[in-house]
Amino acid sequence: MRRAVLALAGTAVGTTLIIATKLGPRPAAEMTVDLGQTLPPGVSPAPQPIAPPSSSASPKASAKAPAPSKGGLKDGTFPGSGAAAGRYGTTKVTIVVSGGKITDVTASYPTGGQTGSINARAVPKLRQEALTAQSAGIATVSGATYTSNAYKQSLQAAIDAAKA
Amino acid sequence: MIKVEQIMGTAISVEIMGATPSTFDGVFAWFREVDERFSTYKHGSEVNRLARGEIEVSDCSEHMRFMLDQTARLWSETNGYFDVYATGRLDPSGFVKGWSVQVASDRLLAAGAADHCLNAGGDVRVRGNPEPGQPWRVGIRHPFEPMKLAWVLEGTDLAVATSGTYERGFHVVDPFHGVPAEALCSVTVTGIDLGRADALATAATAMGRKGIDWLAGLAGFESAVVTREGDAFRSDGLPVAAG
Repeated sequence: MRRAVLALAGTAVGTTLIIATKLGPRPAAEMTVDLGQTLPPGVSPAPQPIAPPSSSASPKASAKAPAPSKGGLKDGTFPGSGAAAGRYGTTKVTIVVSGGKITDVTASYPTGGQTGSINARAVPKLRQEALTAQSAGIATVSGATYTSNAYKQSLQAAIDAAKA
Repeated sequence: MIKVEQIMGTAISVEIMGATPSTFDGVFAWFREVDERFSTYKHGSEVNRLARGEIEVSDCSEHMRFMLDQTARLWSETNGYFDVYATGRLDPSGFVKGWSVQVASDRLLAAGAADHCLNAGGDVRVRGNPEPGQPWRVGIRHPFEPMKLAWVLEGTDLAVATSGTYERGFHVVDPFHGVPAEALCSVTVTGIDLGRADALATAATAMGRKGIDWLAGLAGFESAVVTREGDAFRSDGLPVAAG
């Protein structure tokens, strides 16, 4: 049985959340979470599944996600077990695996006092989600700059022609 | 009504609700004026004469001096990653296209044409409503499937700029290494100022993967990214359409 490995590593002054994920058909995901805290040597909380993902929790992922491959991650919500108390407070990281891929990562932060104000600045992070390929009723398309020639073959040209 | 003209080496689509033909004429005249002044493909353009040292900054038009001032600020704000000299010669295209659309939209609003959708080669500015009570819906092109969308946004006062590696003829250069930046194949920045959004999307593309975290810290702008590997990221505040 394979499982995601969640490792917490810290520096005393870092305040940013850095998450590197290795996704796809391979045996395990590795995460390095820098939460600006110092953990005792050997503390490496192992995640435990607590609930299957509900379809409403990540609709885009469930709509497009392929069936879990042999080498993929097990579906579920995995909290870092035993919230770790660090220099800047107690932090807990949870990942959601759907269709064999990590679809969400959340971290709870202390919110009060000086610690809270430090962590408030640490939170900004783009959310990773499944890439979807949609067709929808739209007025216009934003994309990389096309040449006049490439425009003729574009979705934007088709939309413009339909309106003209 | 919608009209399309080929200006600035790309197609510009202008949709204005309830407008007269003369309103469209004014919009396209503005884009041709911008092209004459800022095109690096026109030998005698003001930007090329400045780049060759034939004229000084003090000789330049108000718009040229405004561009130089704004892009200098953006160079600083982006830690040098938005650089109009990234290719070795002055090329402000990464700001001018978005900015010129923003100016066109501002002028339309001031003239009472409050409901419009402008798109210059993928840089979009929408205002008002296509129909009463309806927001404009703006798709973000899927980087690997030309006729599909990666996200659908909506808004009544929204600028959407996308920088990408999937169209030929335009490459974002990493100014610190002088090579094309290819790690992020689509970077979209939304806000209310299309000139700045355009430049910020270009800067994040130049940064490569570290641009993902950099975008998350921008105040007043939302973002959506697709990496070369097909990983998708977006900010929580991205104005994604409800349904």
